[in-house]
Amino acid sequence: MRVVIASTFVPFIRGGGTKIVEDLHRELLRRGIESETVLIPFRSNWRDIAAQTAAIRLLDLTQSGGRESDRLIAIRTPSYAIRHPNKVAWFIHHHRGAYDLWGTPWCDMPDTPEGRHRRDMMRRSDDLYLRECRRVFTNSHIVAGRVLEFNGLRPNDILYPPLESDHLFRPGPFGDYLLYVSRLNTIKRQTLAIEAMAHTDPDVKLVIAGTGDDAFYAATLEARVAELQLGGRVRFTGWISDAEKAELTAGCCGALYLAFDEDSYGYSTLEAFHARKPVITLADSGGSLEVIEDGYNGSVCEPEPRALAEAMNHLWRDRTDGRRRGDNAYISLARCGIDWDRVIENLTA
Amino acid sequence: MRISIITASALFVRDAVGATAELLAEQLRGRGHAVERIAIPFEAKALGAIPEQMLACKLLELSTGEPDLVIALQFPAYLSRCPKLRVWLLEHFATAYEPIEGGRDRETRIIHGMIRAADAASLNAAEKIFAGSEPIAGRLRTLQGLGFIDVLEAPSGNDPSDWDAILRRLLD
Repeated sequence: MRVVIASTFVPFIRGGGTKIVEDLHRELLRRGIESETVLIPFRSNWRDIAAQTAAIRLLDLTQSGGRESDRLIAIRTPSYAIRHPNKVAWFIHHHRGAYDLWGTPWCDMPDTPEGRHRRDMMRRSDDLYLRECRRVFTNSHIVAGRVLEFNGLRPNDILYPPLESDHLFRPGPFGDYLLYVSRLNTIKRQTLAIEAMAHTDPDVKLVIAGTGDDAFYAATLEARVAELQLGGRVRFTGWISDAEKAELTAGCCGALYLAFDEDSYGYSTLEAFHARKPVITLADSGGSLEVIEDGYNGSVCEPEPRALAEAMNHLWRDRTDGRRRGDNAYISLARCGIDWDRVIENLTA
Repeated sequence: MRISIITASALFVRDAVGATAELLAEQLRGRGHAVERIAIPFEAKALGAIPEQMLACKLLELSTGEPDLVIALQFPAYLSRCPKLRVWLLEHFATAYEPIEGGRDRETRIIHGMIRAADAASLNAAEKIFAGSEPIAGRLRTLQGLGFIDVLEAPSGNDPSDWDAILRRLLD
């Protein structure tokens, strides 16, 4: 079987959207399936989207090098516009400004005749091209719900993106720190973790790993740590390798994932689950709520510092319960069907 | 510098231009540049489908990601609207330049004419153009306005000293 995985991306930036393509490609090859990736540069500026969608529509990947390709798997919007008689979508998000974020302060499009016109173009083109797919899968129930609500299409199933098979995440001792691995970004709310540290037991430590695309935000975080005199208890690692990340995850007593209204659970949640660590998330975090259950494999708390501090204190004070939750976190991977065999079986069926 | 290297080729096929693109990327990274390889799918075998693939290249935003420089190596990758485009033409649509138009059918003549016209417009707009071989340089000289085109032959290995002169010309 010959499979083409197509997606859009922003050159020089690697994130969840490119990782899912690379991981899927690798897993297909491991199973003896011939696979090729197509990553199309895509500028998400709302005015540029229609012309780029037209360009993608002009691509026909039915044949390549004089041979048929059996399946096209389209990942990031609007790669499912590519012509192919046998395509499936593993849909990871809309251009949210034209959908659920329309009319909110986070919308990137103006509520003007042109903005409304372009919003409607995007919706219609998604309506049309998603319906050309033999099957549509999404990466979370949240995204599936949006596809149903806005595009009137019920996705066939949810396929949670697993970690690559040869990942480095392993269990380890429950140390004296909590870990938050993520891009430093306002939507990931590292600020809340720092504010919570002012309310935790004085021995609780926090490690914040990751780099940011916004230098101002990173500087703000460090300034707040100094202001709250948390210098000895909050450590920023900056960029770390996968091996360093795995080591830090193995040694923590719990992980945090505090993003606001995300489409999926975040890879760091999965990494912690593989390391048998519980994860604390927030009631408005979005996708992480599909896999994290309060008291079972982590904690779900209100998005305010004292509630978060209480959840952090619990994992720090009661390592026995932390281990129990961590073991449950590992069991949750299978329970939620986070598994490459299942993903590939569905995408290639 | 942030540098995008763009090729256009059939999927599942490893061609010489792709191999050179990888070597070029390796050399640039070795000199401290951030490099992105962008491979646009292109199927040259179906002549009738070439105009729409050319249009796709024209409409794609290949300068996304704010590169300081875009280096295109192959037809029709250089048709993209990139402000900082440099072309090192290792492969183009050579048959469109063959002087036997009378022997071809009408569709072929029209499509070959489109290719030459699009080449002329895009290559004239590029910041710099080099050819990968003397035959390519010779064909490009038949296009209006391009003038003399230097030939830079691609090294087959990854010895940095073989690449110094080429990188100087491409990046200067």
